[in-house]
Amino acid sequence: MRSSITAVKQGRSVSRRALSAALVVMIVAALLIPLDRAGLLDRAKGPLQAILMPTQRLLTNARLNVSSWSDDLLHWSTLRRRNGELEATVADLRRQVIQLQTLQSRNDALERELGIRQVYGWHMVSASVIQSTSSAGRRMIRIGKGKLDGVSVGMAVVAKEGSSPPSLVGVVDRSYAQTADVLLITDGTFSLAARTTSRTPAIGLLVGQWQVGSRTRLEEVDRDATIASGDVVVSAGLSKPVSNDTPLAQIPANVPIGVVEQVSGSNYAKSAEVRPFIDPDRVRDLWVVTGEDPK
Amino acid sequence: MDNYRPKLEQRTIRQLSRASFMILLALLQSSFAPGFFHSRVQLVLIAVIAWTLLRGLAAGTRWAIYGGVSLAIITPQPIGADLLALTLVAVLIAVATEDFPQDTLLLPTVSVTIGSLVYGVVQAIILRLTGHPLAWLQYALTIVLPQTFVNTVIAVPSFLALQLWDRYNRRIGWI
Repeated sequence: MRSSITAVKQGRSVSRRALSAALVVMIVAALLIPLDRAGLLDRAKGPLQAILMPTQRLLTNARLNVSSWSDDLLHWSTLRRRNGELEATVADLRRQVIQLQTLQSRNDALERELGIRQVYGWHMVSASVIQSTSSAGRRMIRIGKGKLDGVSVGMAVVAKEGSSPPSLVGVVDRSYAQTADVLLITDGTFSLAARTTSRTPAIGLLVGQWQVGSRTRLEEVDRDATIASGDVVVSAGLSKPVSNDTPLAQIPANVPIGVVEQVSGSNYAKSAEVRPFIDPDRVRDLWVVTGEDPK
Repeated sequence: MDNYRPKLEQRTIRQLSRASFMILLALLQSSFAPGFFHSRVQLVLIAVIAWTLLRGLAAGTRWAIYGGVSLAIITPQPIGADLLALTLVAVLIAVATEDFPQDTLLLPTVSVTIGSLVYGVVQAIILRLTGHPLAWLQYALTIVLPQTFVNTVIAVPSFLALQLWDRYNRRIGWI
Protein backbone atom coordinates (compact mmCIF):
# COMPACT_ATOMS: atom_id res chain seq x y z
CA MET A 1 0.00 0.00 0.00
CA ARG A 2 2.86 2.33 0.82
CA SER A 3 4.23 2.06 -2.65
CA SER A 4 1.00 3.20 -4.16
CA ILE A 5 0.40 6.91 -4.76
CA THR A 6 -3.34 6.58 -4.71
CA ALA A 7 -5.76 3.86 -4.02
CA VAL A 8 -6.41 1.44 -6.82
CA LYS A 9 -9.30 2.71 -8.85
CA GLN A 10 -10.73 0.96 -11.84
CA GLY A 11 -8.15 -1.76 -11.33
CA ARG A 12 -5.14 0.47 -12.14
CA SER A 13 -2.80 2.68 -10.17
CA VAL A 14 0.51 4.38 -10.71
CA SER A 15 3.07 2.96 -8.32
CA ARG A 16 6.15 4.83 -7.14
CA ARG A 17 8.28 2.01 -8.45
CA ALA A 18 6.85 2.34 -11.99
CA LEU A 19 7.27 6.12 -11.85
CA SER A 20 10.88 5.79 -10.72
CA ALA A 21 11.60 3.27 -13.48
CA ALA A 22 10.08 5.60 -16.08
CA LEU A 23 12.16 8.48 -14.73
CA VAL A 24 15.35 6.41 -15.04
CA VAL A 25 14.42 5.50 -18.62
CA MET A 26 13.90 9.19 -19.45
CA ILE A 27 17.26 10.16 -17.95
CA VAL A 28 19.01 7.39 -19.89
CA ALA A 29 17.20 8.49 -23.08
CA ALA A 30 18.26 12.10 -22.55
CA LEU A 31 21.88 10.97 -22.12
CA LEU A 32 21.75 8.82 -25.26
CA ILE A 33 20.81 11.77 -27.50
CA PRO A 34 24.17 13.64 -27.27
CA LEU A 35 26.06 10.33 -27.44
CA ASP A 36 24.29 9.43 -30.68
CA ARG A 37 24.78 12.93 -32.08
CA ALA A 38 28.50 12.54 -31.43
CA GLY A 39 28.45 9.30 -33.46
CA LEU A 40 29.42 7.11 -30.51
CA LEU A 41 26.51 4.73 -31.08
CA ASP A 42 26.95 4.30 -34.83
CA ARG A 43 28.77 0.98 -34.38
CA ALA A 44 25.72 -0.47 -32.71
CA LYS A 45 23.20 1.26 -34.96
CA GLY A 46 24.79 0.36 -38.31
CA PRO A 47 24.56 -3.46 -38.11
CA LEU A 48 21.00 -3.33 -36.77
CA GLN A 49 19.97 -1.05 -39.63
CA ALA A 50 21.59 -3.46 -42.08
CA ILE A 51 19.51 -6.33 -40.67
CA LEU A 52 16.26 -4.39 -41.03
CA MET A 53 17.14 -2.86 -44.41
CA PRO A 54 15.58 -5.56 -46.68
CA THR A 55 12.26 -5.44 -44.79
CA GLN A 56 12.21 -1.64 -44.87
CA ARG A 57 12.92 -1.63 -48.59
CA LEU A 58 10.16 -4.16 -49.19
CA LEU A 59 7.62 -2.15 -47.17
CA THR A 60 8.64 1.17 -48.74
CA ASN A 61 8.28 -0.24 -52.25
CA ALA A 62 4.92 -1.73 -51.34
CA ARG A 63 3.71 1.62 -49.99
CA LEU A 64 4.91 3.49 -53.08
CA ASN A 65 3.18 0.95 -55.33
CA VAL A 66 -0.09 1.24 -53.40
CA SER A 67 0.21 5.04 -53.35
CA SER A 68 0.91 5.20 -57.08
CA TRP A 69 -2.03 2.89 -57.85
CA SER A 70 -4.46 4.87 -55.68
CA ASP A 71 -3.22 8.16 -57.14
CA ASP A 72 -3.90 6.85 -60.63
CA LEU A 73 -7.36 5.79 -59.59
CA LEU A 74 -8.21 9.08 -57.90
CA HIS A 75 -6.89 11.29 -60.67
CA TRP A 76 -8.29 9.47 -63.66
CA SER A 77 -9.69 12.57 -65.39
CA THR A 78 -6.52 14.55 -64.70
CA LEU A 79 -4.48 11.69 -66.08
CA ARG A 80 -6.52 11.66 -69.28
CA ARG A 81 -6.01 15.40 -69.74
CA ARG A 82 -2.34 15.04 -68.90
CA ASN A 83 -2.09 12.19 -71.38
CA GLY A 84 -3.46 14.47 -74.10
CA GLU A 85 -0.92 17.14 -73.22
CA LEU A 86 1.88 14.60 -73.21
CA GLU A 87 0.86 13.28 -76.60
CA ALA A 88 1.09 16.81 -77.96
CA THR A 89 4.47 17.20 -76.31
CA VAL A 90 5.63 13.88 -77.73
CA ALA A 91 4.62 14.99 -81.23
CA ASP A 92 6.58 18.20 -80.77
CA LEU A 93 9.54 16.30 -79.37
CA ARG A 94 9.49 13.90 -82.31
CA ARG A 95 9.83 16.86 -84.63
CA GLN A 96 12.74 18.13 -82.55
CA VAL A 97 14.33 14.68 -82.51
CA ILE A 98 14.33 14.61 -86.30
CA GLN A 99 16.07 17.99 -86.32
CA LEU A 100 18.54 16.82 -83.71
CA GLN A 101 19.28 13.63 -85.57
CA THR A 102 20.24 15.71 -88.59
CA LEU A 103 22.56 17.80 -86.47
CA GLN A 104 23.99 14.79 -84.67
CA SER A 105 26.00 13.68 -87.63
CA ARG A 106 27.95 16.95 -87.38
CA ASN A 107 28.47 16.76 -83.70
CA ASP A 108 30.12 13.55 -82.49
CA ALA A 109 31.02 15.10 -79.17
CA LEU A 110 27.38 15.68 -78.28
CA GLU A 111 26.57 12.13 -79.26
CA ARG A 112 29.02 10.87 -76.64
CA GLU A 113 27.47 13.07 -74.01
CA LEU A 114 24.29 11.07 -73.69
CA GLY A 115 24.00 9.93 -70.14
CA ILE A 116 24.69 11.72 -66.91
CA ARG A 117 28.33 10.78 -66.54
CA GLN A 118 29.25 12.12 -69.95
CA VAL A 119 27.18 15.28 -69.59
CA TYR A 120 28.16 16.24 -66.08
CA GLY A 121 31.33 14.26 -65.50
CA TRP A 122 30.08 12.99 -62.18
CA HIS A 123 31.22 9.77 -60.57
CA MET A 124 28.17 8.14 -59.08
CA VAL A 125 26.97 5.29 -56.92
CA SER A 126 23.43 4.11 -57.54
CA ALA A 127 21.19 3.49 -54.54
CA SER A 128 17.58 2.91 -53.68
CA VAL A 129 15.41 4.47 -51.00
CA ILE A 130 14.80 2.08 -48.15
CA GLN A 131 12.88 4.40 -45.87
CA SER A 132 11.53 7.91 -45.59
CA THR A 133 11.13 9.73 -42.30
CA SER A 134 7.91 9.59 -40.45
CA SER A 135 8.33 11.71 -37.41
CA ALA A 136 9.65 14.97 -36.02
CA GLY A 137 8.69 16.72 -39.21
CA ARG A 138 12.04 16.28 -40.89
CA ARG A 139 12.33 15.52 -44.57
CA MET A 140 14.89 12.76 -44.78
CA ILE A 141 15.29 9.46 -46.53
CA ARG A 142 17.52 6.49 -45.85
CA ILE A 143 19.32 4.91 -48.78
CA GLY A 144 20.80 1.45 -49.13
CA LYS A 145 24.40 2.53 -49.68
CA GLY A 146 26.86 3.70 -47.05
CA LYS A 147 30.51 4.09 -46.13
CA LEU A 148 31.42 0.72 -47.64
CA ASP A 149 30.28 2.07 -51.03
CA GLY A 150 32.19 5.31 -50.65
CA VAL A 151 29.25 7.40 -49.52
CA SER A 152 30.21 10.15 -47.08
CA VAL A 153 28.60 13.15 -45.42
CA GLY A 154 27.99 16.14 -47.67
CA MET A 155 27.76 14.26 -50.96
CA ALA A 156 25.05 15.35 -53.37
CA VAL A 157 22.23 12.92 -54.06
CA VAL A 158 20.55 13.18 -57.45
CA ALA A 159 17.63 11.45 -59.09
CA LYS A 160 15.96 11.38 -62.45
CA GLU A 161 12.26 11.07 -63.09
CA GLY A 162 10.61 10.89 -66.49
CA SER A 163 11.84 13.71 -68.69
CA SER A 164 13.44 15.68 -65.86
CA PRO A 165 17.19 16.26 -65.88
CA PRO A 166 19.22 14.48 -63.20
CA SER A 167 18.40 16.76 -60.28
CA LEU A 168 19.50 17.35 -56.74
CA VAL A 169 17.16 15.74 -54.18
CA GLY A 170 19.32 16.09 -51.09
CA VAL A 171 22.66 15.83 -49.39
CA VAL A 172 24.08 12.95 -47.36
CA ASP A 173 23.56 13.96 -43.73
CA ARG A 174 24.93 10.87 -42.05
CA SER A 175 26.67 7.77 -43.33
CA TYR A 176 26.67 4.34 -41.75
CA ALA A 177 28.39 1.16 -42.95
CA GLN A 178 25.69 0.04 -45.37
CA THR A 179 23.15 2.85 -45.22
CA ALA A 180 23.09 6.63 -45.26
CA ASP A 181 20.61 9.31 -44.26
CA VAL A 182 19.88 11.97 -46.85
CA LEU A 183 18.62 15.42 -45.89
CA LEU A 184 16.15 16.40 -48.61
CA ILE A 185 16.29 19.81 -50.27
CA THR A 186 12.78 20.49 -49.02
CA ASP A 187 13.73 20.20 -45.34
CA GLY A 188 13.74 23.44 -43.38
CA THR A 189 17.33 22.93 -42.27
CA PHE A 190 18.65 22.50 -45.81
CA SER A 191 20.56 25.41 -47.31
CA LEU A 192 22.89 25.56 -50.30
CA ALA A 193 24.34 28.25 -52.55
CA ALA A 194 22.50 28.15 -55.86
CA ARG A 195 22.23 30.25 -58.99
CA THR A 196 20.10 30.61 -62.06
CA THR A 197 21.40 29.57 -65.46
CA SER A 198 20.47 32.83 -67.21
CA ARG A 199 23.12 34.95 -68.98
CA THR A 200 23.56 37.04 -65.86
CA PRO A 201 23.12 34.43 -63.12
CA ALA A 202 21.28 35.40 -59.97
CA ILE A 203 23.08 33.84 -57.00
CA GLY A 204 21.29 33.13 -53.74
CA LEU A 205 20.77 30.68 -50.93
CA LEU A 206 18.44 27.77 -51.63
CA VAL A 207 16.56 26.80 -48.47
CA GLY A 208 14.01 24.08 -47.79
CA GLN A 209 10.51 25.23 -46.97
CA TRP A 210 8.55 22.06 -46.26
CA GLN A 211 8.00 22.89 -42.58
CA VAL A 212 6.43 26.20 -43.56
CA GLY A 213 4.16 24.75 -46.20
CA SER A 214 6.16 25.20 -49.37
CA ARG A 215 8.96 23.36 -51.17
CA THR A 216 12.19 25.30 -51.76
CA ARG A 217 13.04 28.95 -51.98
CA LEU A 218 15.98 30.91 -53.38
CA GLU A 219 16.69 33.66 -50.88
CA GLU A 220 19.07 36.57 -50.46
CA VAL A 221 19.34 37.21 -54.19
CA ASP A 222 20.85 40.61 -54.99
CA ARG A 223 18.03 43.07 -55.55
CA ASP A 224 19.59 44.16 -58.88
CA ALA A 225 19.97 40.60 -60.16
CA THR A 226 17.77 39.46 -63.01
CA ILE A 227 15.57 36.57 -62.02
CA ALA A 228 12.29 35.56 -63.59
CA SER A 229 9.76 32.81 -63.48
CA GLY A 230 10.91 29.86 -65.58
CA ASP A 231 14.62 30.34 -64.82
CA VAL A 232 16.42 27.10 -64.11
CA VAL A 233 18.20 26.92 -60.73
CA VAL A 234 21.39 24.90 -60.30
CA SER A 235 23.92 24.46 -57.50
CA ALA A 236 26.47 27.27 -57.43
CA GLY A 237 29.36 25.10 -56.25
CA LEU A 238 30.81 28.04 -54.34
CA SER A 239 32.55 25.93 -51.68
CA LYS A 240 34.38 23.64 -54.08
CA PRO A 241 36.87 26.10 -55.64
CA VAL A 242 37.85 27.27 -52.18
CA SER A 243 38.78 23.64 -51.41
CA ASN A 244 37.80 23.95 -47.80
CA ASP A 245 36.95 20.94 -45.69
CA THR A 246 33.25 21.58 -45.22
CA PRO A 247 31.03 18.66 -46.25
CA LEU A 248 29.09 20.82 -48.71
CA ALA A 249 32.33 21.38 -50.67
CA GLN A 250 31.64 17.96 -52.18
CA ILE A 251 28.61 19.20 -54.09
CA PRO A 252 29.59 19.93 -57.68
CA ALA A 253 28.53 23.10 -59.43
CA ASN A 254 25.70 23.06 -61.98
CA VAL A 255 23.64 20.27 -60.44
CA PRO A 256 20.08 21.02 -61.65
CA ILE A 257 17.65 21.74 -58.82
CA GLY A 258 14.42 23.23 -60.12
CA VAL A 259 12.59 26.04 -61.85
CA VAL A 260 11.72 29.48 -60.51
CA GLU A 261 7.97 29.80 -60.11
CA GLN A 262 7.40 33.13 -58.46
CA VAL A 263 9.67 36.04 -57.64
CA SER A 264 9.19 38.43 -54.79
CA GLY A 265 11.41 41.12 -53.37
CA SER A 266 12.04 43.84 -50.88
CA ASN A 267 14.24 46.90 -50.86
CA TYR A 268 17.21 44.79 -49.87
CA ALA A 269 16.96 41.47 -51.65
CA LYS A 270 14.89 39.30 -53.93
CA SER A 271 13.65 35.81 -53.31
CA ALA A 272 11.94 33.21 -55.44
CA GLU A 273 9.82 30.11 -55.00
CA VAL A 274 11.63 27.20 -56.67
CA ARG A 275 9.76 24.12 -57.85
CA PRO A 276 12.17 21.16 -57.73
CA PHE A 277 12.43 19.10 -60.90
CA ILE A 278 11.75 16.04 -58.79
CA ASP A 279 9.47 15.55 -55.80
CA PRO A 280 11.97 14.07 -53.31
CA ASP A 281 9.18 12.26 -51.46
CA ARG A 282 8.42 10.08 -54.48
CA VAL A 283 11.95 9.11 -55.37
CA ARG A 284 12.79 5.41 -55.35
CA ASP A 285 16.09 5.12 -57.19
CA LEU A 286 18.83 7.69 -57.00
CA TRP A 287 22.54 8.28 -57.33
CA VAL A 288 25.08 9.62 -54.88
CA VAL A 289 27.65 11.88 -56.56
CA THR A 290 30.91 10.65 -55.07
CA GLY A 291 33.19 12.79 -57.24
CA GLU A 292 33.62 14.35 -60.67
CA ASP A 293 36.05 14.37 -63.54
CA PRO A 294 38.84 16.90 -63.17
CA LYS A 295 38.11 20.03 -65.22
CA MET B 1 -1.28 -19.12 -6.45
CA ASP B 2 -1.14 -15.41 -5.60
CA ASN B 3 2.62 -15.63 -5.54
CA TYR B 4 2.74 -17.25 -8.95
CA ARG B 5 5.52 -15.80 -11.02
CA PRO B 6 6.29 -17.06 -14.53
CA LYS B 7 9.63 -18.73 -15.13
CA LEU B 8 12.49 -16.67 -16.47
CA GLU B 9 12.29 -18.25 -19.93
CA GLN B 10 8.54 -17.60 -20.10
CA ARG B 11 9.05 -13.96 -19.19
CA THR B 12 11.89 -13.65 -21.69
CA ILE B 13 9.76 -15.09 -24.49
CA ARG B 14 6.93 -12.69 -23.64
CA GLN B 15 9.20 -9.66 -23.63
CA LEU B 16 10.87 -10.77 -26.86
CA SER B 17 7.51 -11.21 -28.55
CA ARG B 18 6.45 -7.72 -27.40
CA ALA B 19 9.72 -6.24 -28.59
CA SER B 20 9.24 -7.95 -31.96
CA PHE B 21 5.72 -6.55 -32.16
CA MET B 22 7.03 -3.03 -31.54
CA ILE B 23 9.77 -3.45 -34.17
CA LEU B 24 7.07 -4.55 -36.61
CA LEU B 25 4.95 -1.51 -35.70
CA ALA B 26 7.96 0.80 -36.09
CA LEU B 27 8.70 -0.73 -39.51
CA LEU B 28 5.08 -0.33 -40.59
CA GLN B 29 4.99 3.25 -39.27
CA SER B 30 8.19 4.32 -40.98
CA SER B 31 7.90 2.44 -44.25
CA PHE B 32 4.35 1.39 -44.98
CA ALA B 33 1.83 3.52 -43.10
CA PRO B 34 -0.06 5.82 -45.47
CA GLY B 35 0.39 9.57 -45.10
CA PHE B 36 -2.40 12.11 -44.66
CA PHE B 37 -1.66 15.83 -44.82
CA HIS B 38 2.03 14.86 -45.06
CA SER B 39 1.72 13.04 -41.72
CA ARG B 40 2.08 9.34 -41.07
CA VAL B 41 0.05 7.49 -38.47
CA GLN B 42 2.28 7.16 -35.39
CA LEU B 43 1.46 3.54 -34.64
CA VAL B 44 4.14 3.16 -31.99
CA LEU B 45 2.92 6.17 -30.01
CA ILE B 46 -0.69 4.99 -30.19
CA ALA B 47 0.34 1.49 -29.05
CA VAL B 48 2.27 2.87 -26.08
CA ILE B 49 -0.68 5.03 -25.01
CA ALA B 50 -3.19 2.21 -25.47
CA TRP B 51 -1.04 -0.27 -23.56
CA THR B 52 -0.52 2.25 -20.75
CA LEU B 53 -4.30 2.62 -20.49
CA LEU B 54 -4.84 -1.14 -20.56
CA ARG B 55 -1.99 -2.36 -18.37
CA GLY B 56 -0.64 0.63 -16.45
CA LEU B 57 2.58 2.61 -16.39
CA ALA B 58 5.09 -0.23 -15.95
CA ALA B 59 3.83 -2.05 -19.04
CA GLY B 60 3.54 1.24 -20.95
CA THR B 61 7.15 2.10 -20.10
CA ARG B 62 8.32 -1.30 -21.36
CA TRP B 63 6.53 -0.70 -24.65
CA ALA B 64 7.98 2.80 -24.79
CA ILE B 65 11.47 1.31 -24.47
CA TYR B 66 10.86 -1.24 -27.23
CA GLY B 67 9.19 1.33 -29.48
CA GLY B 68 11.70 4.09 -28.78
CA VAL B 69 14.69 1.89 -29.52
CA SER B 70 13.02 0.44 -32.64
CA LEU B 71 12.27 3.89 -34.02
CA ALA B 72 15.81 5.05 -33.22
CA ILE B 73 17.22 2.18 -35.29
CA ILE B 74 14.78 2.49 -38.15
CA THR B 75 14.44 6.26 -38.54
CA PRO B 76 17.18 8.90 -38.74
CA GLN B 77 16.15 10.29 -35.35
CA PRO B 78 18.90 10.23 -32.71
CA ILE B 79 18.75 7.30 -30.28
CA GLY B 80 16.92 8.50 -27.19
CA ALA B 81 14.68 11.11 -28.79
CA ASP B 82 11.71 8.84 -29.39
CA LEU B 83 12.42 6.88 -26.21
CA LEU B 84 12.32 10.05 -24.10
CA ALA B 85 9.16 11.36 -25.76
CA LEU B 86 7.32 8.01 -25.58
CA THR B 87 8.20 7.41 -21.92
CA LEU B 88 7.15 10.92 -20.98
CA VAL B 89 3.83 10.43 -22.77
CA ALA B 90 3.32 7.08 -20.97
CA VAL B 91 3.94 8.72 -17.59
CA LEU B 92 1.62 11.64 -18.32
CA ILE B 93 -1.16 9.40 -19.60
CA ALA B 94 -0.84 6.99 -16.67
CA VAL B 95 -0.95 9.78 -14.08
CA ALA B 96 -3.63 11.87 -15.78
CA THR B 97 -6.05 9.02 -16.46
CA GLU B 98 -5.63 7.21 -13.18
CA ASP B 99 -8.98 8.30 -11.79
CA PHE B 100 -11.01 8.06 -14.97
CA PRO B 101 -13.28 5.13 -15.81
CA GLN B 102 -11.78 2.68 -18.31
CA ASP B 103 -15.01 1.51 -19.91
CA THR B 104 -15.39 4.44 -22.30
CA LEU B 105 -13.83 5.02 -25.71
CA LEU B 106 -13.53 8.71 -24.94
CA LEU B 107 -10.52 8.02 -22.74
CA PRO B 108 -8.26 6.52 -25.46
CA THR B 109 -9.37 9.20 -27.91
CA VAL B 110 -8.54 12.09 -25.59
CA SER B 111 -5.38 10.33 -24.41
CA VAL B 112 -4.08 9.90 -27.96
CA THR B 113 -4.90 13.53 -28.77
CA ILE B 114 -3.07 14.86 -25.72
CA GLY B 115 -0.29 12.30 -26.07
CA SER B 116 0.30 13.26 -29.70
CA LEU B 117 0.50 16.95 -28.80
CA VAL B 118 2.98 16.24 -26.00
CA TYR B 119 5.00 13.92 -28.26
CA GLY B 120 5.14 16.58 -31.01
CA VAL B 121 6.22 19.28 -28.57
CA VAL B 122 8.92 17.09 -27.00
CA GLN B 123 10.24 16.15 -30.46
CA ALA B 124 10.32 19.84 -31.39
CA ILE B 125 12.22 20.74 -28.23
CA ILE B 126 14.74 17.94 -28.90
CA LEU B 127 15.16 19.15 -32.49
CA ARG B 128 15.76 22.69 -31.24
CA LEU B 129 18.19 21.58 -28.52
CA THR B 130 20.17 19.51 -31.02
CA GLY B 131 20.81 22.60 -33.11
CA HIS B 132 18.07 22.54 -35.73
CA PRO B 133 16.36 25.85 -36.49
CA LEU B 134 12.65 25.72 -35.82
CA ALA B 135 9.76 28.03 -36.63
CA TRP B 136 7.50 27.11 -33.73
CA LEU B 137 4.19 28.35 -35.11
CA GLN B 138 4.68 26.77 -38.53
CA TYR B 139 5.94 23.58 -36.90
CA ALA B 140 2.79 23.40 -34.81
CA LEU B 141 0.49 24.15 -37.74
CA THR B 142 2.09 21.97 -40.40
CA ILE B 143 3.38 19.07 -38.33
CA VAL B 144 2.07 18.71 -34.78
CA LEU B 145 -1.61 19.46 -35.42
CA PRO B 146 -2.04 17.33 -38.59
CA GLN B 147 -0.13 14.52 -36.88
CA THR B 148 -2.41 14.79 -33.85
CA PHE B 149 -5.50 14.74 -36.04
CA VAL B 150 -4.35 11.65 -37.94
CA ASN B 151 -3.46 9.84 -34.72
CA THR B 152 -6.79 10.75 -33.11
CA VAL B 153 -8.74 9.40 -36.08
CA ILE B 154 -7.12 6.01 -35.74
CA ALA B 155 -7.03 5.96 -31.91
CA VAL B 156 -10.26 4.06 -31.27
CA PRO B 157 -9.77 1.20 -33.76
CA SER B 158 -6.18 0.76 -32.57
CA PHE B 159 -7.26 0.74 -28.93
CA LEU B 160 -10.01 -1.80 -29.60
CA ALA B 161 -7.59 -4.07 -31.44
CA LEU B 162 -5.09 -3.95 -28.58
CA GLN B 163 -7.88 -4.43 -26.05
CA LEU B 164 -8.93 -7.63 -27.85
CA TRP B 165 -5.35 -8.81 -27.85
CA ASP B 166 -5.03 -7.96 -24.15
CA ARG B 167 -8.19 -9.95 -23.32
CA TYR B 168 -6.92 -12.89 -25.33
CA ASN B 169 -3.59 -12.74 -23.48
CA ARG B 170 -5.36 -12.69 -20.13
CA ARG B 171 -7.55 -15.62 -21.17
CA ILE B 172 -4.56 -17.78 -22.08
CA GLY B 173 -2.72 -16.64 -18.96
CA TRP B 174 -0.17 -14.50 -20.79
CA ILE B 175 -0.41 -11.53 -18.41
